[in-house]
Amino acid sequence: MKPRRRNNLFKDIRRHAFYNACLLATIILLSIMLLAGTIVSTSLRTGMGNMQKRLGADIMLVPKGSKEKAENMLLEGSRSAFYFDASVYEQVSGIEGISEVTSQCFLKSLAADCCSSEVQIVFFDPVSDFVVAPWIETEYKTGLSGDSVIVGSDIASEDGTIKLFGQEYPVVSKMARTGTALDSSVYFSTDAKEELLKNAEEKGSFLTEDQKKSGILSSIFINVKGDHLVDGVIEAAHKSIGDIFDVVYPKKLHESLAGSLLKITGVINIVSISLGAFLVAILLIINSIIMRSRKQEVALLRVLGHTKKRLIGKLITEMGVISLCGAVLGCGLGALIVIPFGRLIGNSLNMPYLGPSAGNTLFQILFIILGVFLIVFLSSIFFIIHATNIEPYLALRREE
Amino acid sequence: MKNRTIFAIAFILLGLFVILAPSVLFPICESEKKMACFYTKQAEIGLGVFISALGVVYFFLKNKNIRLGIAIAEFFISGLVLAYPLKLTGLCKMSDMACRVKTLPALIVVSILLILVSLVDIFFLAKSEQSE
Repeated sequence: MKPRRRNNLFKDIRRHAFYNACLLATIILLSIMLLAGTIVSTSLRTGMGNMQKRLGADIMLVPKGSKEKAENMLLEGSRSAFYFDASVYEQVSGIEGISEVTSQCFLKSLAADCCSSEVQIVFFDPVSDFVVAPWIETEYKTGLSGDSVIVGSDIASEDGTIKLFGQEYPVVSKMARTGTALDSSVYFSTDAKEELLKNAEEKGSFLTEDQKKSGILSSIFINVKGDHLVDGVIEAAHKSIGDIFDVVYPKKLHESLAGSLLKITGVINIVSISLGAFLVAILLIINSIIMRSRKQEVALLRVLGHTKKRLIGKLITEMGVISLCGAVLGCGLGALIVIPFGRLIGNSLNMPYLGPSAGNTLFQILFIILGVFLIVFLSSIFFIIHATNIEPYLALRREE
Repeated sequence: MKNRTIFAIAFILLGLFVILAPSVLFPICESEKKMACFYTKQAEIGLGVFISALGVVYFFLKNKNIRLGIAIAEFFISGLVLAYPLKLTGLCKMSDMACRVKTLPALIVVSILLILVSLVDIFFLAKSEQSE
């Protein structure tokens, strides 16, 4: 655009400052709402997808009375501790119809040197494991032994080591982000349990009587063979080890959470659509007022020799500049609210929340800018064409 | 309203937000032990007072060159607002702590706003200097 024409364009925008400011404010609000809604919905869906992957076992056996704690741990990643006698694992492994079985042991909230708060320590068996492995971002080549750890994505490790109870442990791998408190867990091989508990006790950490016992585990994860029924395996487990356990169905838990997610995204969509419709109505009203107030100007320009095509182009360019500024400002403000406060939003909704990557966010922003541009164009084009179609004589006479 | 008044009010309000964010609006972790975020809070309160005080001085000054200097100072202070939690004093290491979930995002937002406000002010003042 030539500098003189550009100056005229900004002068024209400034000449109708009040209406254009209203238009800009509406566009900013529309962009903020669209971006915030899109990012929150996407993040909730990504978090849910990740959770589905994490709930990778058909059934989970936990000590009698610990079902609720275990469900909270799976869904919200809250820290818990409950214990079986380790001999239960051997008995369960022998049950017919089981394709995969592994055990884990949790230590609840032990204050550690690595972190300013408490961490959940999880002991698992790397040989039989099928629950932790899908979350490991990079394959650990050296193997997990008693003196090395895998850490959740939020655990800060300096120089590839973390310090727990006075002892330094090399970090062999880091887990992918889950969007829950499990990201702040430290994963040890079962072999390391004795030494870690000893160190924790020496450093003054409080251990319960159960935790001091050597042969303990917290949960048994089971995948059932395709040709066997889950209920049959549970019945066999009852016969084999007695009525000492509760059963958690991780995949069913996911279904209930997916229901909550649908409700939340439904509310977000309804609010977005109603507010969006309201803002589009305001845009239509403002555009009609602007074009009505500019009829005389348009008529004069036509008398002075401007063609209809040129006038339409000029008015659309003005709308385009305003909508582009509004959309960019709105997306900037929306991103400034939603991206940094993502974790707080996830915590408030009590749902797994995993923000989109930078590339994905940029794509969404570009998509919304384009969408807003289109909405403004469609809401103004009718009024622009109408204003340019009126005979100059009639338009000027009406203004008399 | 004059540009001078608008920018002075913006600086004073942003300074107040820097004071209130870690202490009242988005408070840091509650703990008897003084953790890294405690020292960040103290530093941010100091910076907030400084930002607001410069805003007050800005309001009473008519000399554009001095106001330009204040706007440049506000721009660099906004960098400090971010540098304290991210590098200089730091925050708690666990990402689910209140200082990381609430306070840090609030400080990121306020420092970006301060950067934008001071840059716009610098642009306007430099432009008016050129035209005079």
